[in-house]
Amino acid sequence: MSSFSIARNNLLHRPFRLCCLAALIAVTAFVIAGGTLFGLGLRNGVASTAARLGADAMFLPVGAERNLEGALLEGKPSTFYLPGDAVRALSELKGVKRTSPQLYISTFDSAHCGALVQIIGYDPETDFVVTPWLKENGSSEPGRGEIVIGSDINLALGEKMLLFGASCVVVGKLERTGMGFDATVFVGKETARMLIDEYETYIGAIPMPDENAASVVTAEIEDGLDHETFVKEVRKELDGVNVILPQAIIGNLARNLDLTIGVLMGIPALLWVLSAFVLVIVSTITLHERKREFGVLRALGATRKKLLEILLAESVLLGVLGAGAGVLLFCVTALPFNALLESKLASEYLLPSADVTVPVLIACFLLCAAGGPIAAFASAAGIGRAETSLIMREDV
Amino acid sequence: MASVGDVRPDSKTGRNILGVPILVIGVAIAVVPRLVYQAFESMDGMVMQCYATANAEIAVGAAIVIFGGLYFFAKSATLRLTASLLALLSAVFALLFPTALTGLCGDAHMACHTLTLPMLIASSSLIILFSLIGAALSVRTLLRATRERRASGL
Amino acid sequence: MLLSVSDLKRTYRRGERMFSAVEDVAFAMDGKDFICITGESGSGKSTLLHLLTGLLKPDAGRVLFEGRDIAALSDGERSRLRNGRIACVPQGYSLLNNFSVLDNVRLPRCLYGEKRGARAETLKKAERLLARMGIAPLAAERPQNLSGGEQRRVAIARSLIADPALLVADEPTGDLDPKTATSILEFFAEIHGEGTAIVMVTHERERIPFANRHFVMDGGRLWEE
Repeated sequence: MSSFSIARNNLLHRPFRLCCLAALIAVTAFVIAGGTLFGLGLRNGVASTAARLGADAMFLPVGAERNLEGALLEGKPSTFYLPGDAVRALSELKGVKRTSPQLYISTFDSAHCGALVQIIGYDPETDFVVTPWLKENGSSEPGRGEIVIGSDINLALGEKMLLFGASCVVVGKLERTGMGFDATVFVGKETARMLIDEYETYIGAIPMPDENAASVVTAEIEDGLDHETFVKEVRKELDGVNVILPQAIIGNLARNLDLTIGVLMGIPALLWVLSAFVLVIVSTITLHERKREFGVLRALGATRKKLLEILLAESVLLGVLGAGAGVLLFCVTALPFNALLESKLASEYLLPSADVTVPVLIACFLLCAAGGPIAAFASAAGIGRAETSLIMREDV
Repeated sequence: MASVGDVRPDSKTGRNILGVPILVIGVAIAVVPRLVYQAFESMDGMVMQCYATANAEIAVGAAIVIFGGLYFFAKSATLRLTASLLALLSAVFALLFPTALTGLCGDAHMACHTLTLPMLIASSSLIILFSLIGAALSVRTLLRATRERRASGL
Repeated sequence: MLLSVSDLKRTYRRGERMFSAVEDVAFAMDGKDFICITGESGSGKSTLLHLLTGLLKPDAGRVLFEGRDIAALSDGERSRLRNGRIACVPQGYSLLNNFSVLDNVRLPRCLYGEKRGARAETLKKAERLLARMGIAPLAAERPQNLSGGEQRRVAIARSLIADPALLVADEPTGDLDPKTATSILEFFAEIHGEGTAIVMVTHERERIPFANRHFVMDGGRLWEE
């Protein structure tokens, strides 16, 4: 009978108390794990959005703002166009360093397409948003009939995807962004043209106004340019063209999220303190009730150190059981619903990768498991010091 | 021979605690994918893979309900051990159907990925946990009975 | 000399005043003695026993056990003494409800770690002691399910697991019916005959004949009759 087995026996002797205290620690661990990962997810989502929306400005047709937002942030595909002369005018606009056109085409929810996705055609010669991303990801430039797909599209490299009846082969798959890009197919200029030709043969297709039309024109603008003034100038000069400044949007998003993240991290921290406080109170009351038991153990020859060993073993067992249950329950009940969160919160949320999530879960476990021993030590300091016979006299 | 940790795991309270949640979660597995999350046979002319999964989960869920009930009412540890192992096996199948056997729809944003799959993962994991505890307690009861029989036989 | 006590004194605070529970107590005993100390409630008998076993430190005087001053030992050394050479049967209920009867009996042997082969040996010894006390069938029971007499027997069996040189018992027959009390004292006489010295405290004068020496305690003072 080691201190560990005595402690285990003591805990099992009071199963209701064990369950209540373990449940308290488990709830704390669950909330801390959830709050921390959710907060990190929000930060990660904003960071990912900032990284992927690389352009200073995005020009689009007036009225298509919701379509673009849906495509980029929520994965809702759509088709819209800017006429060719607007695209040309944008490239010559004062304050614009360089531009690159992109075509946004939505597939159909029918047997002619493998899935309902957003196709984004880009011009490799002028592009500065998609190409760096592909390079980062280790994906090659898609050639004719080739596609690079987002992480949510259920295909592997080398497999084929049907787009408007044309079979295209997957040459690259991008990592998760938490944005609409996860359900997007990127194609080069040639493939985009080919697909538009196929697309326009279908009923319900929105025809391209002219050969040089685009859906969105991404642009880099001159440094030091006042953004508000620039936006006003563009709207004044070019009829039917709107401009979005992604980095400004992200900045607002990040600022609004700071308070949310603060609350998300703050509430679990408060809960931990509260739980530790409750554990200290319960430990103190329980130790007082167990004075006779400790008195008997001392009379039988247990040293003060042995009593503390038994108490420590009890608190460690309790802490490990509670924290383990909490973190495990979080992993099997809440973590699987991460996809739902990402789908509902779109670009604002992206769960960190496993090399961040796993250490966070381990840290939560250790922090909550430590609550038990900390509480036990806080209340057990006096138990060894009291004269044994006085302890025993109280209950005799 | 008595020993440390002399807890009686085969009390009525112990049976209730484990049999009831297994039974209740089994009902959820059977009912939720098909009726609550509405896995349809087809949508806009397209066959939904998750329909086959939902139908399979009805069978698996029903089996878990039976095993949970068996665990709850069984008086012998052997029967409880059998029930918990069968419930565990069924829970594994509840996980295998959407992930490896019948599968789910291609689009990761559809309800079968965002709602049904997580619900099945959570439910199956809980049943696996309860079944393992139930099996461990039943094995412990059986081992103790064997030790007592040997001690009285000496 | 097994135990030698000289000028022993212990006081307690009662409100504003100091109260002398043990005053100038002195006596000696060897390994063949069975001492019975009688006295009324509040005479200081239990305090004296706690001083003899090292559970309390005296304010003055010395308790020498096998030549060693108990009060001068460290907590660890005193604890070891109580775990081996000196055994206590405390007053009232002193069993641990967390453990079975058998585990209660073998508990003292486990407090300093059990060596590999020792576990089986300790279990056998505990079973033999329970059999000797006539309560072997109760080995798997919890103490709270036992009668008062049975609980007392378990406490006595526990005190003998380490083959102590001195057994100190505080009211071992208190709350028991005469028949059970007599059987317990007969058992004490038996182990005394086997070489264990006993100091027993009781308020029942009819227990005196079981001992070979009789002391009376009154108002903290002790004298031999």
